[in-house]
Amino acid sequence: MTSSPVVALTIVGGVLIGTIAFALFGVRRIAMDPQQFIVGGRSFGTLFLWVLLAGEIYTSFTFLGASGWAYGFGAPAYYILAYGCCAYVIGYFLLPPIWRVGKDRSLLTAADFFADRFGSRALGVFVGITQFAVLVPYVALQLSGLQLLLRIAGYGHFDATVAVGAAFLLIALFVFSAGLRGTAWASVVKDILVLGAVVFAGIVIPVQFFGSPAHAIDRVLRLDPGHLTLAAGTGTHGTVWYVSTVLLTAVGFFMAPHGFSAIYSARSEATLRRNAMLLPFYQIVMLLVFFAGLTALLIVPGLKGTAVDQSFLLVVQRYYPAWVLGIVAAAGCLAALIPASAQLLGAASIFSKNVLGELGIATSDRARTLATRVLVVIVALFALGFWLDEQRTLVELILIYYNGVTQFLPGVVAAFMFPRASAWSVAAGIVTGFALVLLFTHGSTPLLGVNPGLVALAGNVAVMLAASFLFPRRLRPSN
Amino acid sequence: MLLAAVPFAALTIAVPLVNRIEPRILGLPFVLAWIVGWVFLTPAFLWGVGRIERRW
Repeated sequence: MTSSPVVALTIVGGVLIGTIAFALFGVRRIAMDPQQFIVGGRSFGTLFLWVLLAGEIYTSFTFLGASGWAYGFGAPAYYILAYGCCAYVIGYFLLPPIWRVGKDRSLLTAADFFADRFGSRALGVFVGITQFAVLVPYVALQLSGLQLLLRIAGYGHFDATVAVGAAFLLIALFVFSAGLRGTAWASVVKDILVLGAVVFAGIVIPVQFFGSPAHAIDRVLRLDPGHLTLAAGTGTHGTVWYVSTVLLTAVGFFMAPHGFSAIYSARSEATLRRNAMLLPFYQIVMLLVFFAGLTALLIVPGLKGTAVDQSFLLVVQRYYPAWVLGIVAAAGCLAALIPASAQLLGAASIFSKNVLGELGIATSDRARTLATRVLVVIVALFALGFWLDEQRTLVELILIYYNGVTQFLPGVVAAFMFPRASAWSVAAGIVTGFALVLLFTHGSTPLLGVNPGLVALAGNVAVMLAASFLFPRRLRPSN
Repeated sequence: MLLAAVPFAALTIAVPLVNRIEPRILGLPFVLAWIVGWVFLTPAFLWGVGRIERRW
């Protein structure tokens, strides 16, 4: 083994250990009861929440997946820039009411929200279970990103299986060492590193090779004039796909299992509004990620399939010293670990509270904490299985996740605007949506270019509305 | 509410209409520059919505 992988992996290891230590230092003085552990004591101000929410957006999907898509497909990757912005517009209106209900009724999780609003504990249990399931492709995405980073930082000395095993251990270690507040502190470190790595990959590399990102774009256009515009109409990844995907991912954005807990961790409604307003600025980083992907297309052409996710990492590996690769890979690892651990914690605490707690299996706080940890390992194992079963690009994985997670939206909207909706009609809608998502994920049915998740969402809404009119709910929630 | 719908529409249904390379803005293909521009404008629109809501 040459010295390069040793240098790169040492840096990765050092940064990870340093971040965990930093996160533990941040949580040391706070008692870890569920209120603290799950919603950070409902005390997060604008800046802290901004970092926390952004921490979930900048994942290995952004870091590797977006550049991979810019590399492999070009223009369809633009959806990533647009959907965040649209999501914040929706969030500006949707988050404050969700937060208000959460505070008034002291809710901790999304399942609490459903159980409370529709007056049905069974619905809470159902939502807890389905949210758990939806997380599997998401964790698979982060696992896949991690193993990629570890493989490249090892300069090809490990195979994918070793790397994915190491990635799995890293996630478990990370989740067990700190709760949500620890995650937010670690996000600070992560964001600084990721920002540095993205500026390096999106500006320094194109400037060094081609003079400027604009020149790199010129070269890409000469190579393939159609790469940077969307295909017209209903083709694969065409304009219809773009519009439907932006819509779907924008409405699904805040429906993540951990999303509700993050919303509840805000100090006030104004904090949430300000965040919705400020978060689009974070999105601009994506532009640099696109530059990185396009530059990689010129320097290391010819990657196909899932290999596109490695695009700019390969440039760094081939043309820059090992310590640079080490820092970039460390930033990428944090970008995978922190969101994965936040989501895992979110889903596992929902499951232990809303499913096991309701069924009377784990009632004490200590038993719940233990159950949370066991559950994290279970989701991670499922994600590992999913990854081994189907290798997809990172963007494909996140789209599968969004297809699923969006199915909770009709219920949330109905809770505020549609008093006829009962627990059963909401559950029937979610089941329909999930069934359609599974169908479309396995058989690739062409739907005139429309994103399958949106079709599933339409089915979900239709079933929910039909069920609500056939069997309307008699009581309004006590409020 | 209508004010907030502007950036939303600009980033979704308007994009197929501006789906072209020329004119390049700061070296970016026009469609990409359009999206980036709206990313910057969205906070301004949401800020405007906040102002109007508070005045009512």
